Amino acid sequence: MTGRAEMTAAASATPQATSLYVYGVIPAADARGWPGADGIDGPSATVRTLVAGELAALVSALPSDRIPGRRDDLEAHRRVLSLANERGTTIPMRFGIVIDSEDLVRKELLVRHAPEFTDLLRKLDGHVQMTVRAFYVEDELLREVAENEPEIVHRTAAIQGLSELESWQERIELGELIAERVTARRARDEQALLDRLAPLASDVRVDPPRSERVALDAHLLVRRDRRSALDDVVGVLGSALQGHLTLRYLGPLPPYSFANLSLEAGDQ
Amino acid sequence: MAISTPSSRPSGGGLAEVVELILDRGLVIDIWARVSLVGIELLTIEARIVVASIDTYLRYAEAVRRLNLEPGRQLGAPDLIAGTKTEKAIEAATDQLDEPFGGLGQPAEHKARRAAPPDLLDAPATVPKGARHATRRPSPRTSRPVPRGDER
Repeated sequence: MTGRAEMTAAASATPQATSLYVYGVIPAADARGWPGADGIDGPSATVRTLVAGELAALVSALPSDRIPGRRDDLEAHRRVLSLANERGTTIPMRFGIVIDSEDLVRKELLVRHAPEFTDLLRKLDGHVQMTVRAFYVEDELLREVAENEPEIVHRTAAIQGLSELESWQERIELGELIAERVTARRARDEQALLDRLAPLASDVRVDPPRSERVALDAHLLVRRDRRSALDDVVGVLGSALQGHLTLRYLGPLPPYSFANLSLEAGDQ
Repeated sequence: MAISTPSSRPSGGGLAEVVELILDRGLVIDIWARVSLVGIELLTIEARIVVASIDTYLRYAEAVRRLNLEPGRQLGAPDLIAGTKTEKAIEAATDQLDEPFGGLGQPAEHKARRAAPPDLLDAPATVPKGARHATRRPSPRTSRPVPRGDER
């Protein structure tokens, strides 16, 4: 604690060791007229902009010994970035980035990495992230896989009335067959949905399924003027797939999935 | 499940729905920035589907045993999707793609897409050669894709 306080004092010359929580980076032009917002440490720490060259960082003060990680902190992070995203192109930082002084934010974040930020802002310009998730309705995936495969139907009938112990080996073999078909089926459904959605996006990221109910977890980088076309396609797919797949459509989000740049600090 | 009505209106997404993105995506700086994530990593425990295990096999077998399979039922997604209504719906969706694509001068790709099988889930639409995004999709198992600007 003492060591850290000394470091902070040297860097920022603030007596009570205040650091800066960093939410994201926006073009300096958008920093003008930034309305301010409650930051991660509540109303006492308003979110402001730090400008260096063509770039601006969205920051708010945070006591150096305060570790963000509460639900409210996550919510504040989300809220601030959502506001920024409504106003213009925003590069979201991952949750939990704290930098010790304004000077470091300007020099080491904005100036040092200006080329990467500028590139990324150009790519993201005029775009938002729309996330489409598709969930299988209840047992639909299993049922569908099973009923379309006589071998599974046959083997399932063979274990009816037998205890797990009595049909141990048969169950493992049956389960393995089902697992194989389920995996293949899911992959095909995922691709089929992507084939309909991707043409409207400038870029696509697909996350691996986080549960067995998930058929698709796709993040689309979409031009703002193509949003309504995507809305329509999602609406049509949603109706067509009713009773089988449920779609969840989120956005516009800051382009979280398209800001996966990992910046090296270099020697300080 | 609370989500039931299909809607073309996107939602802003509650914290629960975007928490993975906030914790697991977004820009990262190393070393001199204090990445204060005490305990946070716990929230992003990988809950990937693990199919290659005996437990999973037994669970699948039991789940299917309880389903009361009706092989003659003809109610799976292929039938659902191949129905006239769906065929029309997908057709309509494809037509709506015309506008943005027309402006981009990719009519060939578009035609190929329209000719694709209408039963969305049974047979995935053929991805035409040269489709812009067909090859962009990162393998789900690979680590995060490297964006432009990282090569510097």
